[in-house]
Amino acid sequence: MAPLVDVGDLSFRYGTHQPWVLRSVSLSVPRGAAVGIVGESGSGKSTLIRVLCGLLTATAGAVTYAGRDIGDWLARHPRQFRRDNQLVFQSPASSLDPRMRVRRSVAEPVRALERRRVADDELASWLTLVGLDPSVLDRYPHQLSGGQLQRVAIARSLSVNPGVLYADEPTSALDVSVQAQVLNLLMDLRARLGLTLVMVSHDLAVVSRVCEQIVVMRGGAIVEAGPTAAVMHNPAAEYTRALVDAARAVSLAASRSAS
Amino acid sequence: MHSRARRRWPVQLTVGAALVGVFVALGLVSLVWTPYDVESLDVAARLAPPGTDGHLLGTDRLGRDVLTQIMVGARNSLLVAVVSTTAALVPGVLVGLMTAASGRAVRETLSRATDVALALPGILIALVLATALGPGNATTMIAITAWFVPVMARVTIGPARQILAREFVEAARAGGRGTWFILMRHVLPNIGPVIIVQTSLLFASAILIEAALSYLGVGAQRPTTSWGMVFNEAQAVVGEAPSLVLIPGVIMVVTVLGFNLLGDGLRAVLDPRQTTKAVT
Amino acid sequence: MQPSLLTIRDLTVRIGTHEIVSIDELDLAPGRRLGLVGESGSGKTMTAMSIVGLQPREATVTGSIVFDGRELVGLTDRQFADVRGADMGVVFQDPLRALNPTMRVGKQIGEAVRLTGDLSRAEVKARVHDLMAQVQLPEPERLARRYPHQLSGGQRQRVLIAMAIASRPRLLVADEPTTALDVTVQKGILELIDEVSTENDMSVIFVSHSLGVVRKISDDVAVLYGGRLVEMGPGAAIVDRPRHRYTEALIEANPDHADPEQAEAVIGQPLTTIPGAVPALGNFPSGCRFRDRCPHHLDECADEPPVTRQSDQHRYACWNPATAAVGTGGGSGGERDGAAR
Repeated sequence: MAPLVDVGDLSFRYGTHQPWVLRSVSLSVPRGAAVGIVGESGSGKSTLIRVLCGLLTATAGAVTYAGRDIGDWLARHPRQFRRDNQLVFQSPASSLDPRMRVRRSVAEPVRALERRRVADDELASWLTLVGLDPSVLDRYPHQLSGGQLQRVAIARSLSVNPGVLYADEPTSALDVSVQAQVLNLLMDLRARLGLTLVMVSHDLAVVSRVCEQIVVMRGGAIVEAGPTAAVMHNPAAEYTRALVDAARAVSLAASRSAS
Repeated sequence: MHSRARRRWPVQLTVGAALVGVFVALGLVSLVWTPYDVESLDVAARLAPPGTDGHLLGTDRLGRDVLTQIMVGARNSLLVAVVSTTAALVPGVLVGLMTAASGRAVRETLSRATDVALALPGILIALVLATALGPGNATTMIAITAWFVPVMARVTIGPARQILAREFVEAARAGGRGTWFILMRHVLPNIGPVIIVQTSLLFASAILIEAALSYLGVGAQRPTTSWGMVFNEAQAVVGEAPSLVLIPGVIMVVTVLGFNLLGDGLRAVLDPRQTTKAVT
Repeated sequence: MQPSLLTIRDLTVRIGTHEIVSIDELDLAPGRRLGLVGESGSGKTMTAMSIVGLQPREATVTGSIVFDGRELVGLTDRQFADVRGADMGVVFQDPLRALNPTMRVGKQIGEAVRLTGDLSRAEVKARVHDLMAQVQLPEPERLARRYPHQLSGGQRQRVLIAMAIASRPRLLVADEPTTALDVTVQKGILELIDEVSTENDMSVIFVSHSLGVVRKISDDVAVLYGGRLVEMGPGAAIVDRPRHRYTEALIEANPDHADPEQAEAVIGQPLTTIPGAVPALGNFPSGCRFRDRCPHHLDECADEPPVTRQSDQHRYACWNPATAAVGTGGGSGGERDGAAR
């Protein structure tokens, strides 16, 4: 089957005299897959998904979505493309406009992309889908906890029935106890809605729980990519090995087996 | 949700609002009533000291009632400040927003242009303008407006850029919203407090500048009365009647202080970062 | 038993009417490393900062913190600064904010060295290079001349550690020192703290939201929730045989607690979650502060705060503790003698 998202020799920089942020990145995401992009700061992982969902334009190389170049998508069917490719951000506190009630923030993508008003029961159904009480609609962001905000942000993305959900460090600003809830929600939604999930994280443990494919990035390039189990147990690249070691050194599993 | 109710009402807001209220009231009341006609001369009671029967704040060297002069002067300050600040507000904020949203090259150019405009000596420009256009309130207002546009732009750029960097803006962009929509719906409401505070501070500046220009003789002309003019005329008799300088001086200081306190108080109340965060 | 370096009794930290921290008993022996772990609102940072006298101005500290025989609660800022200068080193989460951006890092370490006594310029310089070598900063000559922004995050944290240990303190307090760093850099910093504390026979209090990180660096781990010490014991015992239901839940909610052998099987499988979220300050329930999120709560959990119990290695405050794994002994239900001091 043809991949849903296909990236070939993608390079990106912010301007002609700026350093390269992405260097010849190639990767493909099959429909329905969960792919985790792992890397440390400066690896280009967040930039990569911003190019994939059309927020940034590739400097060189090709990116196709559903077999068609995304430049072409954005020129001819920009709203269809944006509906299909939604993004969830790292910081729940900053991903909603603090001066808008949740109702308006959640309705925003539908109003912008489907050009229609949204009825209250529709809004309520999206909130229920992510495990929130519809009463949240009348709240302002500062009245919600980090976990609730991230659920609202996920509801907002799902309101336009995306094909791919890109998640940029969706749990790294959350407490461990809340992180588990949000990860479960993402896994559950993926299973129920048949979403394709592309998740960026610095946390190998998070990615290896959620995704069956892992892409390791460093300095704007892909160091290693493959099935999660293979990358975790049998890393081919030295950098991946260092990353896995560092993560394992502070993992609870390691301490349990070591003791 | 918990902290909201207990948010403290800042003292400076109350005091500032009260002082500004007095100033505005003085100006507005003068439209319908003043103790004397502004041009009437009580020749018998020239240079009457404050507290004289019938002249609460005394009279000047021509026998004009000082309270009347102050009230009518307040009206003129209010007019000039409101017109020039409002006229500067819209273009200033727009230039600021567009600068913030522009690409690097345009942003740098516009920012530097703003810097140059800010570096120009405002009073001198106003004097030149007065020579070209003739003195008067209109000239004062044009000069102050031109002076304030880059100031307003300057204070808009920074906060607007901060908001533009937030993720909800990226989310709106990912949702296909254009720059104009984002600036008006997301950025403007979020920087509103900054603009309101700045407007209050610019009001104070406008009052001072208006007084300075009319003191120098390039602002309002008789029969209009302005605080700066009252100062100028009191100069000649400052030895005999120091109260003629002191009274408008104190009133002007108190008014400017009022606007500054109001600005500070508004900042404290409107700042969205006021929401308390738990310390871990 | 060794006399303790730090003895905390009935410590409370309040801001306004909110009680941020309330800890009955906490001891630290010389040369031991203690990890304070908790989520947001647990009071871990506030606890650590009140030990070094750097709590926010509006906070009121009561109770007793005895450090090396000296009572710290009630000291003036000035007196506390002297104690810190001589015997305590502090490392913060964000080294970029803790360093002066306009001063070369060598000079900043030199300032810290100068505070430790009357030294000649040459002596200060030698000590700075010695400290930089201790924290494994390469080419001290060259690096000392750099400004903070010219260093990497890991290097900056090493500079901060060098400053913290300049006076050869007996206690090093590190507040989330690796949270802002990449994992590979974090590993190096943890190893460094391990080395310098061992070499200099320093006690360490290490604050983190990550149980895995705390476990790696500490001898003893103290788990905090809602400003209360819920469980304390040797790190391995806490992670392998948690007794408090909160500790147990925290471990199970962690995606990396799974056995690596089974990692493949659990991909896409839901994690065990803790329901709800940490309540806002002032909204914790009566009795056990964790009870309304706890699947194992009993009626008595609502009535009164759990008494601290002692089993062989742990102290924990839970009315319905997880059962001890085979071989650990102790921990029979209803055992309350540990509550008495």
